[in-house]
Amino acid sequence: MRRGWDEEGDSSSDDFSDTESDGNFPLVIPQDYLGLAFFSMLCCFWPLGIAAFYLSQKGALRQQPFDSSEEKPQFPGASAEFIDHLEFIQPNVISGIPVYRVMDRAGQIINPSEDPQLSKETVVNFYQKMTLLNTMDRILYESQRQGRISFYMTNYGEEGTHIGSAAALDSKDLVFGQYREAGVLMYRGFPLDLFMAQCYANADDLGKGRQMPVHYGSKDLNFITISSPLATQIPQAAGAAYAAKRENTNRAVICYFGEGAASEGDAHAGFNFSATLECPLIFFCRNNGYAISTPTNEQYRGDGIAARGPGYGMLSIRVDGNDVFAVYNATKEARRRAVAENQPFLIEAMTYRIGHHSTSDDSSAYRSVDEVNYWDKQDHPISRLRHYMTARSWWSEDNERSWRKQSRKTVMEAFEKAEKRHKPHLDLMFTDVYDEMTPNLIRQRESMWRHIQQYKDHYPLDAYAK
Amino acid sequence: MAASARLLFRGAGLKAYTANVNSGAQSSFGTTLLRLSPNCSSQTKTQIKHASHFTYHPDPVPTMYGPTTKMNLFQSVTSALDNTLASDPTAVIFGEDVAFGGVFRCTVGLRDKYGKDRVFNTPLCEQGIVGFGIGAAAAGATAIAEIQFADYIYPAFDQIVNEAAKYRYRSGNLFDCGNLTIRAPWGCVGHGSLYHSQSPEAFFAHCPGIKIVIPRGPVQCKGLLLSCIEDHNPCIFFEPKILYRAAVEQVPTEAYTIPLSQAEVLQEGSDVTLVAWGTQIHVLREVVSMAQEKLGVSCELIDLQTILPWDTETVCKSVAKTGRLLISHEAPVTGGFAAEISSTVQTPVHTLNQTDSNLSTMAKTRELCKDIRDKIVDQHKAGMGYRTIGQQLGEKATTVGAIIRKWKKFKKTVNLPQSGAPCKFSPRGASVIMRKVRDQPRTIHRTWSVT
Repeated sequence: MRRGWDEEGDSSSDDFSDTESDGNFPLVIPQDYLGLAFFSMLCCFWPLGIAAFYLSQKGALRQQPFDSSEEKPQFPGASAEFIDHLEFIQPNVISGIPVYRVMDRAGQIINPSEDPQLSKETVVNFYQKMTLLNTMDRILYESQRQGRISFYMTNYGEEGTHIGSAAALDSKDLVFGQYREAGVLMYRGFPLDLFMAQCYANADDLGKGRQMPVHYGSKDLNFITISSPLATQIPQAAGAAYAAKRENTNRAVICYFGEGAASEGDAHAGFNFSATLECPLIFFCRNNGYAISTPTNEQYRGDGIAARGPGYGMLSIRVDGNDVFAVYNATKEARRRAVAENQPFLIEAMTYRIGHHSTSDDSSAYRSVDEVNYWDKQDHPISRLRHYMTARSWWSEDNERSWRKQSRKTVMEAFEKAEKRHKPHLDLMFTDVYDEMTPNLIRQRESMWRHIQQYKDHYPLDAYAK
Repeated sequence: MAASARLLFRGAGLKAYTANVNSGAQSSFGTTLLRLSPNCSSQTKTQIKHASHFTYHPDPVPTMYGPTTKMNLFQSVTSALDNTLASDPTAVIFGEDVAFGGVFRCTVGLRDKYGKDRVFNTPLCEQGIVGFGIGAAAAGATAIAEIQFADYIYPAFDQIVNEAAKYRYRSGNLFDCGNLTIRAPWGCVGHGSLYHSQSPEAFFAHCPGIKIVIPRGPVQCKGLLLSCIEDHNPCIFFEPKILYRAAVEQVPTEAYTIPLSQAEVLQEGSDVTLVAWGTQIHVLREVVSMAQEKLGVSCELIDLQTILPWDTETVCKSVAKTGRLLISHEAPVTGGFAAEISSTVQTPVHTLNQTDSNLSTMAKTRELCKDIRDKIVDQHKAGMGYRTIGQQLGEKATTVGAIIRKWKKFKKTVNLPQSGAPCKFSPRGASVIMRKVRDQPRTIHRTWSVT
């Protein structure tokens, strides 16, 4: 299926598309010459068929055959009309791309046809995952303040973006994250023990204790390990989506990033590659208002990230990131079409970063407490979903109290257990640099052990796994 | 004299270590070279004017990989890629302009043969090309990325160093991009100037987690490229662009691999070890024959092939034999890869065989150097037994014991001459040594037999 069926005046198709897709599509006249030729011949309309076939061979290397008798631009690079007066196109920053939402701030559905009408179990699960994430964030943030872990990043205010998008994906869809997507992993079932293990860098950590906290990864849950450099995952997601397309197993890829990371060159590269190479990929931008201390008006001048999508030939949407259902609907539709049509989608989820950037940041230095309080109290994904549930009597005060107690208890149990565990074995400093250890790494490992044996009084060997 | 300088110091930024050239020898050296060898006299005037002249020396026809056909370097690349696309259905090749065949014709015919979903152009963005390749590799495809010139690889430096090299390590081996191979034309071509001639291997050599490979000719190129593609680590494969057409050999048509991280001794010798990679191998081949002819010097020539991880054992073993090392590469001298090789060779490494411990002195008896003695004491402090220490360092257990006893008694590992203790050299012995070295500066201890 070619994209552009639903767009007007798109005559950029030139290749003979081999992509196959399931799903119903309307019978449309092929826009390329060869397709038109075969279609015509099938209809036994020979004159058109022969002419189209001739033109297709002639124009095989170009968008369309040259014909300077026509007063239409013949440039290979663009195919719009001529215009005879000077006019700069206004970037539409004032009334920009509208924000799609399903619930209002009080959790009421606005347009009932947009209600995804999820079951009670599903919605309660959403709520529980968001609140469990919130609880874990509070406890781990505190533990950093107490010196138990070295670093932490909270997800306050963005739980809706995580849970809504994760719920709309298949479990086998590959996730490339940035660092503020722990809710996606939690939704997929990553155990608290392993969250803690990574933050404590203990022997249970799947990452073998090599990275800073919150750099989670899970092969079983198809969540690519987080890396610190920003936006590097964006072109990688395009490559993974291309490989998934070739595998033809109905697998999509989603790539999360913030509005700050979207300024990186890698973001531009990822957008352009995924569009030109027709990858089944969802770009999910969490526009939370700040990149550490840099507000959005210092990050970009255009209409956010969603407005960049059309520049790359990508379908784009802006959603209310604090509305779980809006995020869910948009992601679900984007996923369906990305796989069916082999094209990327850009979702810009507008939200607000209620917490500090990380434990190394104090956001009162660059924003007012009132601003933060507004979002915490008036427009929070968790409270909006709660209002939705209480309106349907799916969640009561008793449920809330007992769930709070239970979630806190499970988090504390995992926390205490993780603290007591050993650190990973010291040999793991040297493995996995290459698939097999090289001679100099082996030598360096032996040198380390000799050194440690000699000066064992200076090293806390008991803390490490034997 | 000007001609000799050009003949010896080719390309930009040659790095050379030479030892034992005294003034007496140099004048004869210069005059010998003014007599042009038969090779030089047959050159036309225009050829002599080119500073970047070299003669390509083809490898012998390989017999163990099946039938061969004549190929130049870019055709050997095409052949390797053809073999890969045929045998591995997940393999994809991408980069700028690879669809029509590539600016160096390395991918000619592959798109028609294997389809446009497997051989395709990407937008003009190196960080995107490598990032895309990493993602495709991590998702299970064999990704072969082309960077149009090594000079343009720097936008992808972040993706290569921060991402590709660390993918496996940082994820605890949950994920890796071992299926990624990056190819780029490399090195001087004569007219390339600043931005079509670079050799950036030294920048990447500082990055554990990737492999860097540079072939000297078509047979090596195909085998090494196939090894890189098969290897489960991200590899950067630099192809000497000046050899794309100039290097022609009989290359096996079937797939074959040449092991990575194994340097090849192309020619054995006894007086000096020469190390190079890529185009410089052919320059040094000429140097080897000139040195033999004009100076009576026997050179051992080593093609490093894999820059990272490099074969320290072969190079150090060779230098232990010859006692001298000369490294030649095209990139700038400061921080160039020759610095890494020379510093490694000069560091006493206790796992090498025992002849290295004798390199350090020309004493009458085999007195161990201070580093080895300190090592013995360190290992003893760490709890090793005398026999184990002896085995590790290649010394007798009794020697080890003696050194440790001395350390225990005197708290020193050095054998400083103490008053009353005899000097290791008798005065006659010292004057014999001095006379011999003055006459023949290139004396090494092995030519010695002092009792």
